[in-house]
Amino acid sequence: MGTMPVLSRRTFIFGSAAVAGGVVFGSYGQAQDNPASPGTTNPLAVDLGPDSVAFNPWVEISPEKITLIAQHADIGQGIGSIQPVMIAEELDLELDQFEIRFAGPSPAYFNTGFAHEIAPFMAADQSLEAEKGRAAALEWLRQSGLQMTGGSSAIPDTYEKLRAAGAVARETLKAAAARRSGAAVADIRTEAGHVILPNGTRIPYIALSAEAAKIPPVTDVKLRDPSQWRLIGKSMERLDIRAKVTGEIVFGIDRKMDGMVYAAVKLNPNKGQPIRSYDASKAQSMPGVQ
Amino acid sequence: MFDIVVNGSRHQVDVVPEMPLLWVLRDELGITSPKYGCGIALCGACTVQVDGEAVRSCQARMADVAGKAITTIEGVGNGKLHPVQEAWIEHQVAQCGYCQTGQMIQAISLLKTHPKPTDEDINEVMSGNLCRCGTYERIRVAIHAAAEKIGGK
Ligand code: FES
Ligand code: FES
Repeated sequence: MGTMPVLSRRTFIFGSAAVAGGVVFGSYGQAQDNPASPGTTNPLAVDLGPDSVAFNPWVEISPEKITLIAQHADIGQGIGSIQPVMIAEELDLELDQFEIRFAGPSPAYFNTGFAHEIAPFMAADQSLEAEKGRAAALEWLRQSGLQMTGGSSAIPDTYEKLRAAGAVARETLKAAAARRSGAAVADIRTEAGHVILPNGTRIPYIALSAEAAKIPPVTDVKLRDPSQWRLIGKSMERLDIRAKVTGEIVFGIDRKMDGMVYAAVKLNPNKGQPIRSYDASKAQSMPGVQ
Repeated sequence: MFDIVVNGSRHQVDVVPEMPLLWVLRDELGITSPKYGCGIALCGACTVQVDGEAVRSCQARMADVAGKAITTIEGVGNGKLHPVQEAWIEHQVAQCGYCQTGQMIQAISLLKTHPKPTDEDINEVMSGNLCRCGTYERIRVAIHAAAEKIGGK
């Protein structure tokens, strides 16, 4: 226990100062500089609706709703639930207060967690070579923009990144509320999707999206101590379990697109043999066959 | 033209008599909860109820089920969750979920014939419903839990 090179790894991942008790996420910015991939743009900034804000590649708030982005695309192992939970932990959201969307392709979502997998060193190895190896692997991942799910890398990749994404969103919303109300940020709290002013007024996050979009994201955030966690590490109902149990969930095979047709493959029953002749007339005579 | 009654609603479909019920439901009626897994009665993903019995819809010809009462997972609870669905949620059975509508339909039919099933009953009746994610252990626990819910009512 406790042998993971936590601090040095943070330094690798974020290139930021690791201070006792907290980490400064200097680069969890709005767009150009996101921590996962310096120099890439925030993919959410491209199609952002009016009065909406995307604090980073994982949190988008519009006047209507809060959307959390799951960059690891998995439907079976619970990653689809735990990714938004890590954001919600720091952003003070209840589990029914957001929608989840899988990320589109973008270098911003490169898999930092995979560096530990592909560098040929044991996890406990903190030698200089091991650290250098991991740094090199990480740099390769960053430059190739490798966005992938697998190898048990989802949590190593997102454990800090997503909590930081939530914390940045929370602090920026508080700053927006401070600007609107004149109250000091230090006296403003957040709870269950609301910013709470010193006089008790509760402002829903969605009502602050337009103002939050106008200010630079607050990036010097500290992650909460695990003793304060409400969600992480606790049993929870998977966020998609009801849709799976009612049959509502949509799998690839359930999608219908305009003009879509189905194709059926007929294999030569003799393995490896070419086609000698092909007669589609019987198939074509069936109803619906084009 | 065939008459088909799904979850209490009557529909007319213009399909060939040998069209499998699975594709009538999915492609003609847009009811996608029954899944296509193998198409040859080996996996159970397509299981629906026909007149209250679990049937592999990939092997049921339209002509043979015309006029019969078809029930998919949407129809098992009459607007509420069926106790089997509740148990499936409480025990977090589903991983990807692809096989699970078929599993639940099969489990509901099992509980009709075996209101207090043993592990052996469960193994026997559920063995034709494959789960690529390997949720069998939880399926068994959830079936026992559902049996208790139904018995206690
Ligand atoms: S699709 Fe019907 S049993 Fe596999
Ligand atoms: S839950 Fe994935 S196949 Fe059964």
